[in-house]
Amino acid sequence: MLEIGGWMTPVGLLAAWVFISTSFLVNEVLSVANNLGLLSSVSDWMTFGAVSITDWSATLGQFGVLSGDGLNWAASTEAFTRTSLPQLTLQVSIALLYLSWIAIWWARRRREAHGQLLEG
Amino acid sequence: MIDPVKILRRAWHILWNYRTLWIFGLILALATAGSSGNGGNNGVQWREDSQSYEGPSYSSAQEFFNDVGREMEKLFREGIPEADSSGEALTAFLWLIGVFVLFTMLVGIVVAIARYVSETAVIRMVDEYENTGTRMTVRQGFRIGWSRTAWRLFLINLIVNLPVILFFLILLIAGVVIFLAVVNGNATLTAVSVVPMIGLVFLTIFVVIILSIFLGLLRHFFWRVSVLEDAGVGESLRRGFAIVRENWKSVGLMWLVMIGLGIAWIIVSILAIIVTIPLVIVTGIVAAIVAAIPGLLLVGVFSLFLGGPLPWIAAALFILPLFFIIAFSPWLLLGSWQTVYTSTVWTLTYREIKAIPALLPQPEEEPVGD
Repeated sequence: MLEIGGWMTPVGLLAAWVFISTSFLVNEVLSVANNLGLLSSVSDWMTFGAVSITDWSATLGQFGVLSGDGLNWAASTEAFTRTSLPQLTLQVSIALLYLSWIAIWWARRRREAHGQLLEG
Repeated sequence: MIDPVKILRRAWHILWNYRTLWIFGLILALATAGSSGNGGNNGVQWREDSQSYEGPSYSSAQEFFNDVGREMEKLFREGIPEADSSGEALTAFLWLIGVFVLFTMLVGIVVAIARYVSETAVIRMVDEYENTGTRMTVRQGFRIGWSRTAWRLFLINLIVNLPVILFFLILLIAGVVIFLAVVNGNATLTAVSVVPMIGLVFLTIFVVIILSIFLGLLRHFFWRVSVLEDAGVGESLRRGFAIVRENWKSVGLMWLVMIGLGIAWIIVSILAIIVTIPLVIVTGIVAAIVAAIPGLLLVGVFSLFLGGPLPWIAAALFILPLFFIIAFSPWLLLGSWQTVYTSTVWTLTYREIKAIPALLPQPEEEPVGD
């Protein structure tokens, strides 16, 4: 049972990675289709991507907290945070979990080899 | 079960003690750098404001193309007076771009041939090194790589990539058909049709990615059966699949470990790229000096029939690939190590798996007559 779990962890992580990549890919395709006006008949009840990707910086700009270059930087940062960061974070998390599995597998393997050496 | 750590250590040893392999690794890194994109998903999403772009009607598109045609005709008749380029010079420049495209295609074919020759050479050289301890020279490597097997590797690779190529072709055609149907008013996308379509596209992409990953794993064995047992394409596919099916635990474990190493390599290579930036600046200067002589010669030749900045642009087009190869050679070397190491690991895995039946205790034969 433990062995099956050990195998399923990296396989599950890979499946999750493929699932997330596919989701983002389909999301991009839908955004493009929506921008081309193909999905105008359904876009009133279905949201394809964020309607506005600079909500917070726009609000800060309206209140006069930010202006000029500062506002541009805030808008760029917010756009990046909303569009690319979730995908990046998820993929990095999966990569780190995968590396953790490798480290655990390596440690277990070394312990087993050490045990066999002592028995011998 | 095979011992992945033993294989990884042995491959590491071979990588550092058999440096002739690096030459073939450089060719592999150069060839695969152009072909192994990351699926076009660079994480940047195209999102404009909420206003949708209304597709152009047929008549407006035709007007647009007519306009473009008129402007192009004017450009090639009058040239660009501000840039001191006549219409004739622009026409010659266009011909030169055609020559460049042809040249690029020829280079692409040569690089593709070199890639499969190098793949064959690396597999055979590592196998020979393991069998006899002999280290081959570059010339010997090319001699054993240049064979019918290299062509077979190309065919196997084509078969392995066929599902992905077909899928994207179908997706592209379907997308264009739907786009034209909606733009011309022949079809309307409603919620009832859109939701199942999204589900179907999602499921198909998911399955195709899984399938391509699985075929990518099988390809290591198809190639090695073809190279090391001199089998034909069909035979390599059949025997390669049988090997993986019979030893799925060993192959699966090695594959999972290699994926982990791949992730670790990404981190290491990012650090290595940052660390080697000063070196790349130096090689960039060397590349500029090396590329300057043929570059200036090309400028001189092109100046005979081009004017203004066009000879410089045309010369840059032809000389930039050489410049980039020399300038980024330290990073190319990193890629070379990675490709040689990966290939060596799979060759050793193949050899270990093939050796397993010989290592297993043979069942005792029952005495006849009892």
